Amino acid sequence: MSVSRDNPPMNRFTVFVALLLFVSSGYVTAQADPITVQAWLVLGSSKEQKDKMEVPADIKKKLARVFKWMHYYQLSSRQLNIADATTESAKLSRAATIKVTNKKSGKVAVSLFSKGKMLVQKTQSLKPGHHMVLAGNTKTDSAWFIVLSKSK
Amino acid sequence: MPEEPAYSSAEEPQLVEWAKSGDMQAFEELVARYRDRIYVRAYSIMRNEDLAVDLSQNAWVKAWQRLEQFHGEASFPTWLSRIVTNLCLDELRRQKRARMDSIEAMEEATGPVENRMELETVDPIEGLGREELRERIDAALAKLSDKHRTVIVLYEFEQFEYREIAEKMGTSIGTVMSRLFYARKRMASLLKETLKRDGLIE
Amino acid sequence: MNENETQLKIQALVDGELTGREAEELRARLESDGGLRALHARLTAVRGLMAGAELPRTLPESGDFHWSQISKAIGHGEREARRLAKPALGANWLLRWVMPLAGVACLVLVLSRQQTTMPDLNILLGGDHELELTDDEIDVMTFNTGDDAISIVWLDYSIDLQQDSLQLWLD
Repeated sequence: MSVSRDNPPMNRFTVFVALLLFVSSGYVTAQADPITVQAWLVLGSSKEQKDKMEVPADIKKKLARVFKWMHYYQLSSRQLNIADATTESAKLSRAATIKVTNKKSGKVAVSLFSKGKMLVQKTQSLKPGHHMVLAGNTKTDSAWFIVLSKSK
Repeated sequence: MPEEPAYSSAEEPQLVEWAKSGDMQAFEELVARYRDRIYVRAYSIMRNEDLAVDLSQNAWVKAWQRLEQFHGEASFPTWLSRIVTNLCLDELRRQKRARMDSIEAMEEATGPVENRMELETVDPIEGLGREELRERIDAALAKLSDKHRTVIVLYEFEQFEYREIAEKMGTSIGTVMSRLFYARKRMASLLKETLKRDGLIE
Repeated sequence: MNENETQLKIQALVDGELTGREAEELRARLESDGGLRALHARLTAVRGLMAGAELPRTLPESGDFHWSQISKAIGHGEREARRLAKPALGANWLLRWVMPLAGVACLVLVLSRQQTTMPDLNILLGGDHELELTDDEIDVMTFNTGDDAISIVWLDYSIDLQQDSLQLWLD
């Protein structure tokens, strides 16, 4: 698409106003329903660790579709009931906390904090049965996963 | 709006052309077609799953960056295979594991002695399936030293000539011949051992 | 020619690496030397065994994940190449487009703050996914499964997985 170098200022102003009206109308009309989000902190490992509990089978199946670890152990799990346009937080380990915001249009914003510092925030629609996964390597040959799903 | 090309049914040369013009989806399709093959080659040389995966990925990245240099002299998978092989050889050189006390170092230093050893007769007995034999060959390959395994993989699987192997490994043709001879003797011996142990030969 | 050299020559003959004259001479020797004939036969047998004997394997990670790593590395390489090749963006471009857009963004932010404390100035990832990363040092990669049922954000970051003892009681 080519852009004219001589756009009259009025045209650009009109575009801004239209944009503002569009955003404002969305703000007024969209509302979110209360939601329940389940969060699991999972350790993925190739070594069997008998002192740890495996994650539920459906979570394991989902993770195993993408990742290569032999075992997926549940380190903690939390349930968050989040009212419309509010934020709830859950501590999943000594250092890891998530904050989940129930946004409009079925979207959730999930922020991951490590030792109080925000690492990442992911915003997306989360349909029941779908999963959002935040993950990374550990210092040993394994990985951590924070798996989130929305209840129906 | 132009219709999206049918990548999954496209012929390989067409995919390569599209990829050359910057089409990532065409390149993704090529990756899907040949990723296992490239991984196998990396694994055969490195015998380490994680390293083989990393080197395979690097090979694909290098292939993308050098696509302009591919003019179809060899097939696309052969060209890729050469890239991953080179990366594996670089990695082996980089590792330069200090195993001077290993039997391999001793054998290298005493070539004529090792070569006086009798070459075992291997008879791929009838009834032993090709797949079963492949697995045994794979297990025997894993027992060779890096240098001997590399030379036999490059010769038998990658189908390099002696001269090419010498160039790639930075050594003389004589050393390549000697290593290949030793590697074959070891393979014959290891295979005979495993077949005997399993009662498949006398 | 000593024994060792002879063995290697026999091998070269089996491998088809000998030139015509050398090959002919060696074949003549084979006819009169039973030991060399046996060696030739054994080397031929081992070669036959090895031909096409490479064990097929499957990549131990999913195709989607493998591709995501490759495409990420390609993207990174291309960004780096562009960064090195191109001069900084002109101030003219900044004034013409970035400043007015920043103005709109500020207004949107003011409106949205009345509803939520989360800022909306995020990176658009395509679809309805947005990602905000607060530390440039952390390498991040995002990808979805083909059916979009799982969205993944992979961080090059190791979090402390230890549980609080109090938390363990509560679990």
